[in-house]
Amino acid sequence: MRSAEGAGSMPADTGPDQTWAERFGRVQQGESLRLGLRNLYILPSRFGGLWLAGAGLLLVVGIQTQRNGPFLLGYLLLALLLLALHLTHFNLQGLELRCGQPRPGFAGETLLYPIHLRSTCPREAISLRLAGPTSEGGSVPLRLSAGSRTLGLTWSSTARGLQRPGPLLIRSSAPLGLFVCWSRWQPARTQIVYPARHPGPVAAAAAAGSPPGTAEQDQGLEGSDHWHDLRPQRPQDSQSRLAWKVLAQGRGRLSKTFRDPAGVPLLLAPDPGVPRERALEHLSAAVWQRSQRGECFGLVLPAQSIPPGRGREHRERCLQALALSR
Amino acid sequence: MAAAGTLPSRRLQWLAEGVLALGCVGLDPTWLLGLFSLALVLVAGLKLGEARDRAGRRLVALLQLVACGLLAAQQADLLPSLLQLLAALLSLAGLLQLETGLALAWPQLLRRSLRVMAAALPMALVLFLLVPRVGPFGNGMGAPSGRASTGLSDDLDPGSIATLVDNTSPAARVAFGDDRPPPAGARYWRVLVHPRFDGRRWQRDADAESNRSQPNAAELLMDGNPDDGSAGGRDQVWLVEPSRFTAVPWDGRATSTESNLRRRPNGELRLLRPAHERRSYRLDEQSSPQPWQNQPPTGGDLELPRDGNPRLQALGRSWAGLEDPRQRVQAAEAWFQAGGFRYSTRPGTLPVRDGLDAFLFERREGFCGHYASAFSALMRAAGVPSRVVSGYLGGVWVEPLGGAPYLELHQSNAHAWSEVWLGNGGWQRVDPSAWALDASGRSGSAAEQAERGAAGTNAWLWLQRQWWGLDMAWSRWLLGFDRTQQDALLRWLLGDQRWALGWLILGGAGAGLAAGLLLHRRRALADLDQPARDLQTLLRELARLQVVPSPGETLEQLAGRAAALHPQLAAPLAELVHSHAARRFAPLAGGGETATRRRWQAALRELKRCRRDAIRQT
Amino acid sequence: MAPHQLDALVAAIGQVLLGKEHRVKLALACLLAGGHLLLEDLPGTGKTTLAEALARGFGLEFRRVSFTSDLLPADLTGINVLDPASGRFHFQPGPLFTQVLLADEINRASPRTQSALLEAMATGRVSVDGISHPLPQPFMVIATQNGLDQVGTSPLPESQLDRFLMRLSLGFPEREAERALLAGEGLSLETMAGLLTPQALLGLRSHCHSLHCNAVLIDYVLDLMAASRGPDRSGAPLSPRASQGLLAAARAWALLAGREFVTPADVQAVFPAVAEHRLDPTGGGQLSAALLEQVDAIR
Repeated sequence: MRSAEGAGSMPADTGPDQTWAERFGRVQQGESLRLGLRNLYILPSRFGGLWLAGAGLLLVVGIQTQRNGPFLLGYLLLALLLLALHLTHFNLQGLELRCGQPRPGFAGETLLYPIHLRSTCPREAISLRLAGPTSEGGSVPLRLSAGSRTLGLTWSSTARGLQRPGPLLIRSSAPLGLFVCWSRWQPARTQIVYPARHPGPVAAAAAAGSPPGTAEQDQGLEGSDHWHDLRPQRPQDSQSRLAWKVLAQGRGRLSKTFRDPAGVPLLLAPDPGVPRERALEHLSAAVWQRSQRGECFGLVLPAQSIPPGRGREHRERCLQALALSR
Repeated sequence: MAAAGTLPSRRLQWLAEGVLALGCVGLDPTWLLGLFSLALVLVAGLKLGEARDRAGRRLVALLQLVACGLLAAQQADLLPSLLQLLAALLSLAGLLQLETGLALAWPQLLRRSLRVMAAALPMALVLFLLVPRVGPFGNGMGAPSGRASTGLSDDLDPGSIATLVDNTSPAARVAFGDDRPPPAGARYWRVLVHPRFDGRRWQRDADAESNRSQPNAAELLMDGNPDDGSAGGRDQVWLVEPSRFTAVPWDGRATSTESNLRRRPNGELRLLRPAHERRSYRLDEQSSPQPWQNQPPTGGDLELPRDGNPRLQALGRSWAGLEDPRQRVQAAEAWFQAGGFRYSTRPGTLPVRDGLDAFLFERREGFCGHYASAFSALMRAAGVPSRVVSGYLGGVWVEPLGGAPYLELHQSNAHAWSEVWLGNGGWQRVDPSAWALDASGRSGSAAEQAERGAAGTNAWLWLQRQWWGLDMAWSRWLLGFDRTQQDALLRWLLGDQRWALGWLILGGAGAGLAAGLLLHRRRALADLDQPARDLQTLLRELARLQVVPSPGETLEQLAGRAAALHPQLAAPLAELVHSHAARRFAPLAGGGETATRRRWQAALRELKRCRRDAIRQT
Repeated sequence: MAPHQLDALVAAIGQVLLGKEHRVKLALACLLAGGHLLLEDLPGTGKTTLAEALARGFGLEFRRVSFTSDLLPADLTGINVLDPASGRFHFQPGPLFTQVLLADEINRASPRTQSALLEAMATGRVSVDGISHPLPQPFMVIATQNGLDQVGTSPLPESQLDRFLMRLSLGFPEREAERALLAGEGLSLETMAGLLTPQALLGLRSHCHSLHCNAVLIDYVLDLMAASRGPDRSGAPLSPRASQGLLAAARAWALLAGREFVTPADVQAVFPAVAEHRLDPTGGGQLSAALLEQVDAIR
């Protein structure tokens, strides 16, 4: 696991606490998690130790000078320490976490994993982080107001398919930083991860069973973009469709008809010359590219084939087939 | 992760640092603790300047808090205490800001800091009151040095003073446990004792101020004697302005348990603190005579230079035949009263040679110093051990609007009187200035009279006195609680069951913590505005009926569900929903809020009543 | 003035369209908010009746255009015709120049015709040969779309759907309502004439626009928008035009309820109609309801 390296390279302020929290504590399972006594862990931070030493110093000064000021402040520091123990715990206790429905993403790129947070009271400085190599966005402490809120935690996966991110670490040291309270949770929902987009050769299968000439005519739909043909005018036809030029040539009243053009459907297939995973990555890039250009394409995989189509939904269907292909 | 980028600005912590630096003004750097605090504040500042990460900034906040505590050990008056409190609040706010990020505005942060501190206070007080104190280990900390001025001086040489300058600046303030002033005749506050006479000047013992850092072997702790039985029970809290002496005023009868108060054999009271700071201490009034009064005189107390003041010496010797020292004192009193002496603050200087002769037999006018030194010299000539004592007499009783009433002593209250050794009677105070004509002005202050008259009209003075009243109350509170007091409190709480102390502390601290948490939670609600708070109340009410909001539900739907379950609640609920919508979402109408709130409360009461009925029925 | 007249109008339309009071109110809110309405339903469920009832209720000029595949933009907007008498071109306005336009089966027309209509809806004016002609005020398009009959049609693209404030589906009537319909208890459209005037409608619109929305409510709307744009959204994100429309519709709803301010309940009442077609252009899912559940409405 690379988390230890990741934590090591972080600035010193979060370093030690973070590694503790990542190593200790049972990982909770399930679709949702309600933070409470059973799944929260709390330990004093290093600053908490210093704080205790400071309080001790003040008490010694109080004893030596027999003045009440240092006594009072020393005890106040002690009381703050004990208060912070509870406040830090309260800051997380009662928070409800629930997995959202993650949207698919590409392997090797940043993935967003949604977490619903529901709280009955405002909370402060909570940081959430999915274990894994790159999860930067989530560790900026977060203020929650009462109510529900959805967070997108970032992570990334190197493998395609149905993937689950590493355990979620939720921790807080608010309000005073004297204690670190944390919990670990493995969200249950899986996220569809498409193969990484690597441009490369793909095989193009022939569009099945339609001779080129007729396909052109059948694919076109009645529309208004491209002039297609002339036909005799009917009374209900609009005047604006009248072929004036033809009328002027004395060939009678004819109406223009229009057609929308249709593209040549292309069926993409894995290139047999490259390893399977690599071929899927090439397909992933090809699907993306063609869909961006608005082209019509289909997909043929060993176990599944998707007829030609276009649009976002079609693209996602193709990518999903690539992600789940066995 | 760019840690520095997400850190809040340092301004709040710099402000705390600035307040701390302000609080450092007047520290004594020659004292170990003073030096240490200065160093700590400096280190905190340097660290703040260079800190790049959160841990560094947290450390700064902690250093600042500890520095506050160290300052509190050295300056316990109201103003420094307020500064220390402010600095502590600011550094705590700085710490909160570090954790809770950038979004909060300053006032909000300060409020939160105050709230956190208030939540910690109950427990801190329990610990403060109950955890047993121990005495200091060794003698590590004491060490004053001196500067500043006072109406008193080491050498009493009245002959060299032509005109007594009226200095109305304050010298000391004292508050009494029962808030009643002492009777006018008992307001003698002794400070310095001058036993050595060279014919002109009365001087203090050579070693009186010689060793400031350590008590002399002869100096004793002011052991309070709880078994004495004659304890007056009344305590005095003194606040003394900076002076040149570590000797501080007292009434000569009190005891104290403070370890840095030392009593010299001649009845001076020394406070082992830097003389140039404002000092405060607490005394317990006693009615029984103190050991110094029975301390037998030494040969020095009879010493009188042979040459000089021949007429004085002759007069004194003429009384030496009287057997009882008291009779010699009475003879002197009769002689003074018959002599037509007048009190004057402008007597002019006396000749260097035989100055007291000139005062006694020619001028016959002078101020307290003249009378005290002449009388003491006469007594020595008559064979009665005597010395001059200087201190303060009288004072103005001030009753401010808030805080504790107190007696205010000015430098112009400075006074000198004599003490004579009366054998088995011990050292007795004799004030020869009282024998002069015009005794009303005996403490030398026409100015004070004028001031007393002007007090009502002088607004600045009035304000000052209010402040001092608060200051006195604070000092009394802060100084009043020492080991003895704590002992008394524990005895009162536990009797002889000392074993229960641990449990008491645990229980008290737990209760304090619970109170603090409750307070904190309550205050957290206070961040909401009134309609939002009222809404929380309503939601709590509904939760008792097992009606909790489902996701995305509006209040109308929630109330509808509740009303469907409990039809008798329908009417008040409808009213509450309507009223909440009007308060929350309607445009602000001037003055309408109180009326709608009243309607809301009435409906809420109705709802509670209906709910209780509903529960009773089921 | 507003509430009781509006109540009367709602009641009158309700007499014509039996058992569909909530949808009638939504359609009315759409009209009051100054938006355009998309009705998506099976034939024969009362789409045309609703449109005509709305127009008649306010005494508005009403026209109906059946969109067919060969309808050209000029057929809607009108054309410049050479006047033989004067020898000059003059503009002959098309059916678009009316106050309530029922665009029947809008998805049958070609995308070009659709976009001409939608442009007119968005700008309130029509350009022919470089000359701009303003449309009459008030102007409202009620477009219908046949849900089942998708063969040979051009469904409105997502970007164009955004221009309709609401999408409603009238649905089948309740059993009792249909019984009343069969019993002939409903009123005919002719009884509706002249309840209110076009001037009154303009007045109501400006009143509606001035209804109070305070910061707490705006926050609620913003939270809804943020939820629709969140990382686990299941539909398309809602645009700022959607949030403007939502607030306008919520104001109209509050006006219909006779209130002078808007509450989250108003927002919730109009939210499915305003947001569903923007979240999920193709199907009648429950995305808007799921979104409403994500945001706390008690505040």
